[in-house]
Amino acid sequence: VNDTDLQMFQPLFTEPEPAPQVVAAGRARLQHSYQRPGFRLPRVRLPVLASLGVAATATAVVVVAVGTAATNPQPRGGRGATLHLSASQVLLTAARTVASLPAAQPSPRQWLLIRSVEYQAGAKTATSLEWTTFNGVRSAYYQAGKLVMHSAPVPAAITGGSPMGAYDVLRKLPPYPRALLAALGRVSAGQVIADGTTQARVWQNIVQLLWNSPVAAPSKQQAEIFLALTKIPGLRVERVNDALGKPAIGLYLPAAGHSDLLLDPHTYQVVGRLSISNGRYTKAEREMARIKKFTLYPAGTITWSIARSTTPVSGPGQS
Amino acid sequence: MTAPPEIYLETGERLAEQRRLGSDVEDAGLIARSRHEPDAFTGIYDRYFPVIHRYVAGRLGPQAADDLAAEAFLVAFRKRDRFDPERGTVRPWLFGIATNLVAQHRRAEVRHFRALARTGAEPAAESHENRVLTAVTAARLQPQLAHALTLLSQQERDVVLLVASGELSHQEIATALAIPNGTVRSRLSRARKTLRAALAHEGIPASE
Repeated sequence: VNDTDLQMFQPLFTEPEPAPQVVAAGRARLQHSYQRPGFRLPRVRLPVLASLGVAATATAVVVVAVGTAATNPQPRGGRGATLHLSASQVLLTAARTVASLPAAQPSPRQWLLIRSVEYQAGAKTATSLEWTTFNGVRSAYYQAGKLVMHSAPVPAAITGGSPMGAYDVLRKLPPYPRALLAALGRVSAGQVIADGTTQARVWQNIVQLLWNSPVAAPSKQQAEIFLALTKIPGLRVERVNDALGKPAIGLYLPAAGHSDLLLDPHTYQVVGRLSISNGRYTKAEREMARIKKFTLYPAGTITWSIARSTTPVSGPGQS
Repeated sequence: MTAPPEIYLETGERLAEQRRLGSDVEDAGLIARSRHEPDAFTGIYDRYFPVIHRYVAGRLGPQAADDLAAEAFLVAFRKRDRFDPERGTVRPWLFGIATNLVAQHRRAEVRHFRALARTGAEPAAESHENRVLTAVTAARLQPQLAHALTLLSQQERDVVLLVASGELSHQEIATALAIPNGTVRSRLSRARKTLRAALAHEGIPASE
């Protein structure tokens, strides 16, 4: 019997291999089942997605409560319902969307206005305006109502930390997923890696580079990056609100901590970042928190969130 | 001297068949051993967890798959005494268990495919030929395919996706779902009619 016509449904099964942590957790669960004499497996519980949705909603309530109590009248950075899509499905759509965008590289001296709204648990939401040239050599900001200008030496400015430097690193990444991820694994982004795995390092590096490049990357290259990210096992997607309360798509790799890169749900451009507490603290951290009177946030609390927009402008102080 | 392609293919197929039979025998041996040495079952887990995870992830999403794929192996482990190698191999047996678990989440599955169907609302990218667009061509059909799947009954969807993702034969599906071979064929036939109509409506020709 020829069933080749049904192979057209195979694109729906594009998930990469499960992450090593997921495989290990399942194996441990299996071993646990026979290492406890008399242990009986419970019946299958409520639908997982539905229960996750409930958990996410409950978390959002907690987060709103924390934000409200901590001087902020508006709920900021709340988590929403679980997205019923895999990260690779979202990333494929993102690749398709950004591939059709016009490629526009600013000139090195083009001024950019970067507007950020930052939320930190227990603190006021802060809005900041910063002007910088694309090459990062000149920058400006307001202090006490006065525009303060800065200049940096050219070679020092044009690094992976400047808009143009990060743009160039992204632009030069090889165009094939495997090679692209390998190159990302070699980039030094100065990040502390949660568990030291290569995948975590690759993820941390791409998040940092995309964040450092407020004008993103050339559109086709950005599409290549999204395609390559579909090959990272264990990447997760969730629906969140950014620091402005606007809906966004959150991507995170559990192996690198619960720290989301936020994408606009329509344009798939990077619009923010967000960190969520896992509720786990070492004894030393708990002791330090007691002495310094830090707050230890329960699992699921958004501890930090930032929303950002970038606009080309004619000069510093302009909008 | 290069061997004629026909002979090469025949040999290759025979070798593949031998390897498959070898691993089937090995699987059955692991299950038999696991009745006395539970740790032997981890051999089955290590071999099949990724493929079962991908199958469940395709039907319910990856977050649900982390839990449900592991659950499928717990169920399989509990039922290992009832596994009969005379009736079929381990692979379809595991797919059957996973399918039964997915069936308990049918509303979540429909939500998953509906969400997937909504992802392609925007028009396709302009038609410049580049590798990126080639790579996502298949993905472009995802919304329509996902929508078509929501029109099937749970039982029809099971057989279609066991063919598409699990690449199981009709006989293996019959064993996996504990239904007669004829029932597999009739469900596939009904599903094909529905899918053809749905895809034709979306302008996608379904091959015969």
